[in-house]
Amino acid sequence: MARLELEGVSKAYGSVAAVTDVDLLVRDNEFFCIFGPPSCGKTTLLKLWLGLRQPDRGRVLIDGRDMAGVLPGERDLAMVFQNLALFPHMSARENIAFPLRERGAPAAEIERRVADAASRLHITPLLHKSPGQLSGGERQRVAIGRTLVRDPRAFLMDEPIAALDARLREEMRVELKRLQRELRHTLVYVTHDQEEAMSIADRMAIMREGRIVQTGTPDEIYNAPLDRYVATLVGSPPMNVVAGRLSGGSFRDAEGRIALALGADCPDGPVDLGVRPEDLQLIAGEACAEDIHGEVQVIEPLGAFTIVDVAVGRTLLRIDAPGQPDLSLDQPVALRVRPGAGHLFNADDGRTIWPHR
Amino acid sequence: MSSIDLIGLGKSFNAVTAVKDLTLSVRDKEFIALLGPSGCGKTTTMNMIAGIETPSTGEIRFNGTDISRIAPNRRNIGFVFQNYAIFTHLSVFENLAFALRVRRLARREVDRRVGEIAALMQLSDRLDWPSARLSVNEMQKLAIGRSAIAEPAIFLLDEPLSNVDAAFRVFMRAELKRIQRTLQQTMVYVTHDQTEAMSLADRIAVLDRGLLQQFDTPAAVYNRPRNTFVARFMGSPAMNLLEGDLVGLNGGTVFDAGARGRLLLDRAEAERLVNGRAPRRILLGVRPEDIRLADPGGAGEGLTLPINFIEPIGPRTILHLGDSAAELKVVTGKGAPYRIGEAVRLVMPLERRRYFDPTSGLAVDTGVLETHVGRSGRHGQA
Repeated sequence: MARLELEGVSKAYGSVAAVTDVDLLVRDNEFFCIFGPPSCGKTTLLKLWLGLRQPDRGRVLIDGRDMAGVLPGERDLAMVFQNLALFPHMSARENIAFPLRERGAPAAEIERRVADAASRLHITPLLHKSPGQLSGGERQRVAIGRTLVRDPRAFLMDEPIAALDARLREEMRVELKRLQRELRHTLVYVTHDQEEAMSIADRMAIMREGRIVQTGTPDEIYNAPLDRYVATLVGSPPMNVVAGRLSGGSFRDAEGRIALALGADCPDGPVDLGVRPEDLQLIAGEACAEDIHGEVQVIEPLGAFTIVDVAVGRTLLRIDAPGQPDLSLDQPVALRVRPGAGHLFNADDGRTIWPHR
Repeated sequence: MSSIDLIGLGKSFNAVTAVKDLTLSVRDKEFIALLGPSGCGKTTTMNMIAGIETPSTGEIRFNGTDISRIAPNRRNIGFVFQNYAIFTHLSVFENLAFALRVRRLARREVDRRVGEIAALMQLSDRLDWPSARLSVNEMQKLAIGRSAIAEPAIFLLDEPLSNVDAAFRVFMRAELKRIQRTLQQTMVYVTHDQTEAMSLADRIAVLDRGLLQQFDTPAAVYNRPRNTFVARFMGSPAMNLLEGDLVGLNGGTVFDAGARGRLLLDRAEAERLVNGRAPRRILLGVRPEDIRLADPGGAGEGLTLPINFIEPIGPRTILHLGDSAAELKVVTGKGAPYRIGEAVRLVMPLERRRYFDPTSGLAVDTGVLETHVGRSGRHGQA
């Protein structure tokens, strides 16, 4: 139940700029992800809201109120850490009650608040158990319960599930999203895992070297990236990027092996073509003039789909083919770009020039 | 270049059995993955192959010769660990050259081989760098290159990609495949990540609690899991397992999933189940990507369930169906036009269904998939 804002915020540690000119608005009840590669400034944004760092420039606002001079403890934000930081020798009930006891709350109030938090998190039957007896998802709920009893305005989470193994991460991210929907709290979530961000965020911000380069829904970010950086950062395997020239709306790479009549209404000149791996189809049947011919270099069968690296001259195209196609190494194959797919980027600065937004 | 035979291999630490009666053979130049959750015995197995642990029972043979009594440094093994083990005070060049210098190779030869391996690992422009300056990702490439240069007969890799970031892991998976193609060494790769095992290995040994569950090609382990452990462990999301009863109805057989609906079985399928001694209470297994969705009002039978959660993950969308107690997952394409709360009818193609005994967890042999997998040319659909 909070709106979190940053207005023209910059922060440097010594001579190193951590974040630069950040404007960001996290809306009430939103599940908001901040995504970017390691050390791009994601965690610093959380610390600025929490009050653990002071901005060099700009304003930090919570529900429209400037937080300058407001102590961290008075900001009513809950932070959930990567390792959950539960006390292993205490029961779930004692863990949840801990912050209230520290504050010297009366016993009746502690009991009421713990019971209330436990019922909202559906962990009432687990309160007598110790963290060691709980599953990963249950432990996460207890950790959230411990912050919930303080009635925070918003949750901030820094890579809360990054240390878990792959299967558990998949379950936990769904669990977390469900929980956020039930609790109806604003949640800001920092991650370097693009699939995690894509799957749980209502909206997300992409960071690069301390700046925010794009903000939008996962759908907007994936389908309408503002530049080549964003385009190649979300999606796995990353979007294929091929350098070439645009002439009369058609793309052609330097070797003349990839030629596509895109009908792009952009000026002629050097461009980068971007095509997502799932937008390249293996063609078994009839050939068409625009088919791209190459040889299979690497096959990665993943069961539900198969990633295939195809060498097209000196260019390597990575495709994401459904199912388990029957392919062998060095086999010649034909590829086709799915109609309507394809992005064009300015060859110099990487800005998206087509399709227009 | 070497084959590896593990024969009745076991290892106990006091009262704890880490590996039990493990028998498997790795062919010369084969890439196998030891896959399982933490505590399954995969690292203990690798340590026994390396000679770091002594087996409690059984035997290890390289090229048919028992090497159980041979010291680790005489086994001609290359080892890549999770935490690199790079000499950070040495340059990239010196790290790569280390194994060759130990063997007192001529300088020209050292230069030549370091040059080759650096090119293969894409580290050619980093050779003068102090290795401490490398990124985490480059460190891992250096660690692999440093072991590869000694041209060991057997290459052991222990979770080499678990510390690198997600994007680099995907990149490095393909690189490792390329490197293995060039080096032609026998490789044993330990991982808890089924994606890595699927994409890299010629064959996968799935382990759970010290016991070998299945040892087969990635396609076979994925398409024909021998038990529910393998069915659940492989795939992302995992295989759906739906409990129901096989009951006779109007002369045919149906899979009855109670309130979720019924599935009429094909006559031949029902016969095979009977021949495979299927119990009445049974688990129906179907992969999330093999379920097609149809309009609930449409013709034909099937299970009808409401959508309770939608996860877009870029190229695909994961739909969560049903109540949380018996949730099913379905994978569809991107931008799937579904809403939470909407009910959908599930169509499960006959040849993609598996059945398991809920008591033993073992697959009930229906013989269907064995014939299907041979003609897996499914890339036309998209």
